[in-house]
Amino acid sequence: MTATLPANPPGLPGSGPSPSGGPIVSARRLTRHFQGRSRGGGRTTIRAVEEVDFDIEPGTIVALVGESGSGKTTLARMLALLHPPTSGDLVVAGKELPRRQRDKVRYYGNVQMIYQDPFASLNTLKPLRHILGRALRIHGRAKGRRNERELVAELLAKVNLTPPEQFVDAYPTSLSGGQRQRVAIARALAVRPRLLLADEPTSMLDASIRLDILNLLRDLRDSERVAILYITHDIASARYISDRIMVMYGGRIVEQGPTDDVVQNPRHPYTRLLVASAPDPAHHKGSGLNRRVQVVGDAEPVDVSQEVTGCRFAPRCPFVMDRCREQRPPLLQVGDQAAACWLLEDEQ
Amino acid sequence: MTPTDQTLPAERDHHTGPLLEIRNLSVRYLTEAGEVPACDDVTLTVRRGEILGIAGESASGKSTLLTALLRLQRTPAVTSGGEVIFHRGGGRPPVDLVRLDERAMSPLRWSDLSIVMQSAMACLNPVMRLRAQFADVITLKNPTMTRGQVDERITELLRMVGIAPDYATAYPHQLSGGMRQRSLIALALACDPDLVVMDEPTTAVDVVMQRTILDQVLALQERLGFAIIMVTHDLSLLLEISDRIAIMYGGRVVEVGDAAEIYAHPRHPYTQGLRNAFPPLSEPVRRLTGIPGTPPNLLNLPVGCAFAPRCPHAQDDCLALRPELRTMPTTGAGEPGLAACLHPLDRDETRRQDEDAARPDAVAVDSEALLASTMEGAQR
Repeated sequence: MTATLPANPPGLPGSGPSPSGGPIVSARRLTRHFQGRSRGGGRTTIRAVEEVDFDIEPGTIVALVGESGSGKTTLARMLALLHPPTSGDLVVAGKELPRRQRDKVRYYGNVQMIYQDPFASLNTLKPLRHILGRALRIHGRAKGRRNERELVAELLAKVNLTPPEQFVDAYPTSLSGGQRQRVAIARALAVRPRLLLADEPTSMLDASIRLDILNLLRDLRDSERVAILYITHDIASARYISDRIMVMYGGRIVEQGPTDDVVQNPRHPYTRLLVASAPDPAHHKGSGLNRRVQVVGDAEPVDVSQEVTGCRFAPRCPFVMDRCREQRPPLLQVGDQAAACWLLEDEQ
Repeated sequence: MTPTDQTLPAERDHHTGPLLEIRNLSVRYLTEAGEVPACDDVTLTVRRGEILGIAGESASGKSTLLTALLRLQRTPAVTSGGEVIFHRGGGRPPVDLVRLDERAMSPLRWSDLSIVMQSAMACLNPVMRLRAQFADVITLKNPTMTRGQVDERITELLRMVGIAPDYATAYPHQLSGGMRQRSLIALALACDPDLVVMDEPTTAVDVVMQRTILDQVLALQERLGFAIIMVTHDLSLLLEISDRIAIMYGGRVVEVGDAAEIYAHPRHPYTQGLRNAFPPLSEPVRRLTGIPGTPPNLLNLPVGCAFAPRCPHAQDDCLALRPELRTMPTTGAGEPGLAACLHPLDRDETRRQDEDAARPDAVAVDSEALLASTMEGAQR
């Protein structure tokens, strides 16, 4: 297959076999543009996300990896109803995105967010009992006061804030960063969501605490069967917790596939650069594995306000061909992986 | 092979003798709640031409240590004891940086010691062109240089870090984050210092840019022979670039050793925990545990070992006695490391348990082959 994807392909390149019930998220040609001003003062269109196709299966962790400005947060914000898509289709839990407020509340009963900064995402004037109880009440998950108290304790236990009695009356200010992030996760779980959007949930935390949060997300995937979109620039942590990886570059998904395949055998030259650039403790001095990565061209982020006909990565790509500058490569399937690179054409 | 891999023998000789000896340095923050011992009795040596990494979590005292030894601290931070002996080049006698007054310290800045900070935007003057900021430093230290020579030097410095010389006329806001960070590095190298201190120099940039910057720094360091103290919370990064690593916890150095030893045979349980807190990229995935509990409150440090409340190996004496740094017996060829632990881990205990915990289906990433193929492409 070399032609561009049809609008609604039956099986998406790079998607695994679809189990019964269908995906929790299904995006087709999903696009989000912003109007901005260029350095000269003229109007420009910032193509934050361009024609993105992906599925998220229930109970899986999908890592969305890419540099700053690659569009990963915009993608999550569309799923969180914070930016309406400019065009394309986004189906979540079998439904189109809601427009009316009442439908939005119902939507948030399925989809919840965990933000990067647990010092900003919790109301410091309220005890945890209130913070968690409010989510339960708004979404009608608690039946009466007593049930609410039980559920709050249950939520605290789920995120390992134990014993719960010790935490229900605590205020966020008395908690450490890691504990606060657990509260944020507990609040998201209160509505029994089917999808969690976790945007860099560990980047504000210390190394020793970070792993606990990653382990917690991994455990919740298994115990709650919740799907998680894990957004990160750290490919090592993506490899640690995710089932699948999607790599974004310049607003487009350039590679996706099962985690092990993408990390061990990256097919897109950008993914290769990303994997080769990531720090790896096994490559310590004296290991004989020390390496220099050849970065071609300038490692500056792409300017997504410039429209290009070819591949966005072409100016930095060590394998660039004339064709890459003229024609945008579609996602091409190789095994379970798919990458948007003309190099894969021969392998199909 | 990159040209920078071929180190000249003469340059290897840089790796002898101490450059900076930090002895029993203590820094306190005087706060209303009491004295905070942010840095307590720190003893460390930086050798000529080496890269010493300092790793630790927030509030472990690593940044306090840097500002104290460069005399950049402000109240309420006060150096309460110890000395920092700096062995200057060119046959000049060693000086104690702690006791120098600012007038005596000033000539050492930029020419002997310089710093690269985390937030480039906060360090560069937003209303001055890059050229003017570079010229400031260069003419201050080389008053006899002509304008033409200064411009030549600026061009050279910018080229060194991969920035096109046209950017000399740009303002900081016109540069990308990575370029700003690289121009700070160029500025730090403007007067050929013997020691460059880097405080989280790549934390604010992307992975690929981080790699670009670090590769440039390593190549320059090999060529110019300056020593680096690199502070970051990212131990995996530090392991890759440092010759030796010091681990800080609760304001004290708890372990010092060769990068290879710290990685393969950490002796302090905290070092082991920190090392295991970074998921590997090339080794098989196994469940990692992190470190239970939270970092200590410096206002209320335990009597014994600060790590004892979180330590899986803690015994009764750990709660009562504060361990001092001591030499660890070694069997390998490397130099013995130091650890502040009453019950240091055996070498055997600390091997990464890859075999037993590895997922059977996991295959290690062959990043060498990956790199080779990327390089091949680059040469076409």
